Amino acid sequence: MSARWPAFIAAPLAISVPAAHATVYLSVEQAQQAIFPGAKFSPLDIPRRERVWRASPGGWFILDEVLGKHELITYAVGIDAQGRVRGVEILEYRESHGGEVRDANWREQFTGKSAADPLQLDRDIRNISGATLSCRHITDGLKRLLKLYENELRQR
Amino acid sequence: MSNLKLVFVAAAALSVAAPALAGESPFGYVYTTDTHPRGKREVEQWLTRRHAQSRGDYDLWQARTEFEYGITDRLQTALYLNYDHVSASHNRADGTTGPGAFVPDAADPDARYSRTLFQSFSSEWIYRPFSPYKDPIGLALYIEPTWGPDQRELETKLILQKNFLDDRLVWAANFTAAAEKERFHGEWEHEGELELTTGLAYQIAPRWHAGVEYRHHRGYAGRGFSADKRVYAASFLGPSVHYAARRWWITATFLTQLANAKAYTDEARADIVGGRFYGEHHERSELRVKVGFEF
Repeated sequence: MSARWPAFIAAPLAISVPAAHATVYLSVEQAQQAIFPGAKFSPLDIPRRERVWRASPGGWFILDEVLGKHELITYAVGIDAQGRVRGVEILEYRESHGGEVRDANWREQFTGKSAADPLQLDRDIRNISGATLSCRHITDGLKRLLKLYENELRQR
Repeated sequence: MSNLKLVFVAAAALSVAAPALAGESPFGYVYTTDTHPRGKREVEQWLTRRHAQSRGDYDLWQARTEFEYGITDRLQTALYLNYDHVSASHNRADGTTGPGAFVPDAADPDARYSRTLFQSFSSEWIYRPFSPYKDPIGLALYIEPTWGPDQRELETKLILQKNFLDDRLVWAANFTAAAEKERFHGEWEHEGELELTTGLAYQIAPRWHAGVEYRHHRGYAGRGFSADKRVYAASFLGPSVHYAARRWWITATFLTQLANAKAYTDEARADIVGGRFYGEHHERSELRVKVGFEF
């Protein structure tokens, strides 16, 4: 190595890079059955990025993605016939931090919420330290999906 | 390879061999208000190449090996090991080699000067009262004492961060004040530095940010920051790119000095060539690469 290139610049090359990977926790069908057990689902063709299914006993199942810190989080919400959240499921989570949003107690906070609720972190939704971005983006996403129900699905 | 270089390589390699995130920034120079959650640890390796003075050859490689730890969800501390390598030849405006902040007075003015040296330890503390994800604007306070055989420094920063477009667009700004004491010819001299750094980064794809950073740096002689103690002012501008994987990340920023430097003393005026300031460890360009690993 010449005098102009110090030896320590090679240090980062010694890094063994851990591989990144996505963790799939639930398929769409599994998430549908977790929120509406025994129900049948028919897809709704709407010109939006969200995918929407009508549940046979009444209600809606919506699949969506939000950004975590760096990667997309795939999640779904079940909304009952009265426009209230029946359940929230995390289908895919791809990041090293913030996976606590899969915790059932955290997701349970959304049950019964409607478009009339604030859905705001540290107001009616508890934050998880170290997972703030994931908590906020999922909370914002669910608020958007409840407005989608209110504006486009309720009258169908 | 000298024993000293071997120590550097071993320290750096050991520090990064552990599995790999948080507290990361899409910027190379600008700090964001992100801190580690309680109990999280991260190792960072910094490498900055400061290249070219007014003439001849000049390369200063500055390395930092850092261990970060989240004490609480709002308070983070870090310990840095700072070490450098300089290679200079006929780099001064008058065509001689050195001297400067990294080339001693005793260096042969007609020969190349190269040296690898341990510079200092730093202890960094960051407290974040307001989060950009929950509050109208993120705010963090930073303090970093540095100790070395020929250097003592106390650096403080006010860090602001505001996110837009669902956090895809990140703006951050740092206001830095540093009081420094360096030993020249056996005598301790006091200096001060004020700096504004600001940057804007956009998430262009999952895991990828691209941005731009600006740095305005002012130097002062003696204690305090009054106008009569001003020595120089220099500005830098350039792009940054950031990639984050599941447990590690890398950020690179290239800054070039703008030709709008100002000098307030005769000595500093002699160090301005083509509108750029080359005294007090300032170069034509800087390339910084930072790698972070969570464990």
